[in-house]
Amino acid sequence: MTQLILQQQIELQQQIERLLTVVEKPSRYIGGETNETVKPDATVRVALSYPDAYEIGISNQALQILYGLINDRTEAAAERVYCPWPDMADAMRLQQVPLFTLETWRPVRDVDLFGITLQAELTYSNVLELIDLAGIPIRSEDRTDRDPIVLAGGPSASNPMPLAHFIDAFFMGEAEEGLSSIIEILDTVKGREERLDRLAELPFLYIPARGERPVERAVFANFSIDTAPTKPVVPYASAIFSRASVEVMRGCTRGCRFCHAGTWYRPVRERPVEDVVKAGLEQLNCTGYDELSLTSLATSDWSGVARAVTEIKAAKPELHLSLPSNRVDTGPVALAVAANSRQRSITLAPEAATQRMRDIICKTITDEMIEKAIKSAFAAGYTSLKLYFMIGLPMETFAEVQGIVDLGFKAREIGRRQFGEGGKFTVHVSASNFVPKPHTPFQWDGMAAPEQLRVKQEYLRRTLKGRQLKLSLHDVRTSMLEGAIGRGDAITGDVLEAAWRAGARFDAWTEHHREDAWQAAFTAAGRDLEVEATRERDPLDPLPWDHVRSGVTKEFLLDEWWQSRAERPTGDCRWDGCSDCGACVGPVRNRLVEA
Amino acid sequence: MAAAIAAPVSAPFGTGWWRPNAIHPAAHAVRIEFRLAIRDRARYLSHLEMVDLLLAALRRAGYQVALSHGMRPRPVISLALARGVGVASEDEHCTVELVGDSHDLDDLVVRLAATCPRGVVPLEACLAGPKTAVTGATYRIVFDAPGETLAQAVAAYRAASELLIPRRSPKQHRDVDVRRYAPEPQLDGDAVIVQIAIYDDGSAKPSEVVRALASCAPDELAVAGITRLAVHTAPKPVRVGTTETT
Repeated sequence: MTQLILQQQIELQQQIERLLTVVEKPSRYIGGETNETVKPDATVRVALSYPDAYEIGISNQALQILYGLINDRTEAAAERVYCPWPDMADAMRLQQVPLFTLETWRPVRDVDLFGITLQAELTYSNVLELIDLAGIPIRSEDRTDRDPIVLAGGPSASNPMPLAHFIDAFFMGEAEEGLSSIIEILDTVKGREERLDRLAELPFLYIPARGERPVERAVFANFSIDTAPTKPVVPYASAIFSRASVEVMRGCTRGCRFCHAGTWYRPVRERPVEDVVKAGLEQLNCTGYDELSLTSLATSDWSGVARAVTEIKAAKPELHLSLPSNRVDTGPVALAVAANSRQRSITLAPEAATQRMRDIICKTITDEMIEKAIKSAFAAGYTSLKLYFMIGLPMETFAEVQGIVDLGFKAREIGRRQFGEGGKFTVHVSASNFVPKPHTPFQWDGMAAPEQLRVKQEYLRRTLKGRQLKLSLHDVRTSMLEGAIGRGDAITGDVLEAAWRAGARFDAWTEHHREDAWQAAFTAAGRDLEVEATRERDPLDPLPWDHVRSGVTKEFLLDEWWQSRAERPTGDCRWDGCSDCGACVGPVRNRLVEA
Repeated sequence: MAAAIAAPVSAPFGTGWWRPNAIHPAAHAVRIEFRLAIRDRARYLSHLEMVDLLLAALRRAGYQVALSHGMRPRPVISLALARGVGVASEDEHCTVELVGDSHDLDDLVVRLAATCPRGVVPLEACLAGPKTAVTGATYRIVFDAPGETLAQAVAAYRAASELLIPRRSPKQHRDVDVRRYAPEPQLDGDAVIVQIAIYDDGSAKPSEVVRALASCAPDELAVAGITRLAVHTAPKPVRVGTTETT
């Protein structure tokens, strides 16, 4: 028997090698990167997957954390798999090569747990692609003992219903502590049904086959005292992010009403400066990276940021230190300069250009703050300023769109005062389309109609042009699809399957997006894509994700929705007192470090 | 041969990709050449991926790579001859400038071996001599075909006066006379050893030699693997009226 398995493995490896000679970028499939872990004798085998191409998936910090956690702290072995690019997927189907893990080139179907992270709705068709390529039946109900448990987690799992037909179990929340319980069950319990029965006892798992019982989001209360990972897998050159990164803080309580992460990862937990500095320097040594990123939802809000920048720069003066996700303020601009004096580009995200709209979305910054931040950025020598906005927000009027134009020109004017009329600098305005997300105060709102969005985009294109100005806009079609799936229900799952069967995959990639397949799938299900995306939900009606308890109460979200209609922002509970959102329970509460 | 790098007039101030923790060109650096083998799955890495991988491995091993001069300084590292994706190699030549006045070369190989990912094997290191030009490379091409078929293919190949293989890319469409660059393939069991020359007007790729051999074979010729055995170099000619700089 062992001989037979060995022979099959050798044959599979030979088949894969033959495919690698004909596909684009074969390095996506070879594994063997620095810091990968191979545990051939593990009793429980886990395949961790990101449903997109290698260069996107390998850069995902959450999957790197889980990979290290399983391999370093449990007896189980975690291996990686990313969605094969269409040329490879087609070749695999033609040659009947099953989906394989990068580390050992063994079939994904042979693992005990097939974990898929859900970071964006536009990757859902790739979830089905992965399951199918693995040789696993698409629908959970068709699976047998021969198949692994297919588990999905990540922020988009907060509305599990569009994928409920295809996923055996959904992990709600942060997996650091709960994952070991799952591995223990897989190690001790055999048989698919028995395993699902035991898994259903865990409060943070939603098992569609066991009914819609309330599921509690898991919160990693010990984030602040747990050590940060120091040995991430180092990707090959094609990855979108090739840098060391330490998560300095989890959660954000600024309360932006459109932001899913701002609700889903509450409360705020900060890591001590000493731990961040130590982990960052260790990671640089273990990876050979020459750039370190201090990540979080809003790094400039981390109490230890100034001290950490000083200490890291003292230890490695030449290091490229990046602080993503800064709030619009002069303080963060000065910090960014201190972190990386050579960088010429800075990003500010006002999200909305008028005070009225910022009050509606609860972005508590003023026109003066934005202007000061732009001035200080140009004064510090930044020659590329990126300004991020959204269009199509609830209660938006044309004045808000005009506000984006005005602010773009104002930024250019400030730049010209700094660098001269013909100075070499760029103001890059990016306007994305608002997509309402579950578990946010705007979950009841609809998206703006596509024709409205297109008119606004056209207005921006026509007016916001000229020397030193650049504009980038998001594709309305993919935004609508994101909106239609994101707040979908079980029928959306049928639509998803039909679209995938008609050829939809890699929907986030414009060259692969198949609008025709999606439109036909919605029509076949008796629905309309645009209606699903733009439809407002009645606060009195149940929502498909109501059984998922994020910690933040529905009453709080509804109250915030009313506050938005009254154009009133809500304070940040770190400084302005508790807003009674419901996220702090027992040991789970805001944990700030001393600056 | 330790080479001192001249101090730049002003500090470089590039934007975009550049890597600030490689050392400033004002520092002293030693030009080192090391040989490495690329085996197993690592052969599917592209030329640029390999350069990036070696830079990171050097940094993990504790070395600092010197930067080039100019507005956009780049780490001074190069591989002598680009390798096709999927081609293994037993003789890759990498030249790199490492910061410092001297380095223990045996220690460099040991430390680098510990930090390179699997399939990338440093073999030896030496101080880089005068700059050389690559004149060709020798490959071993293993075929999955009967010995007689292969022998007939090699004989027909050698007997041909020219073997034109079309080369198509977005930038060029032309026929390459493969036989001109690789005139004498030798049969070696189930493999063919072939030396491919590089002339001023270009060269042939190993995959093109395979296609030329296949066109000469009476039956189908399937390739099982290609390995570069050696890279051939010659002293770079010094142009009259110019001065060589290091």
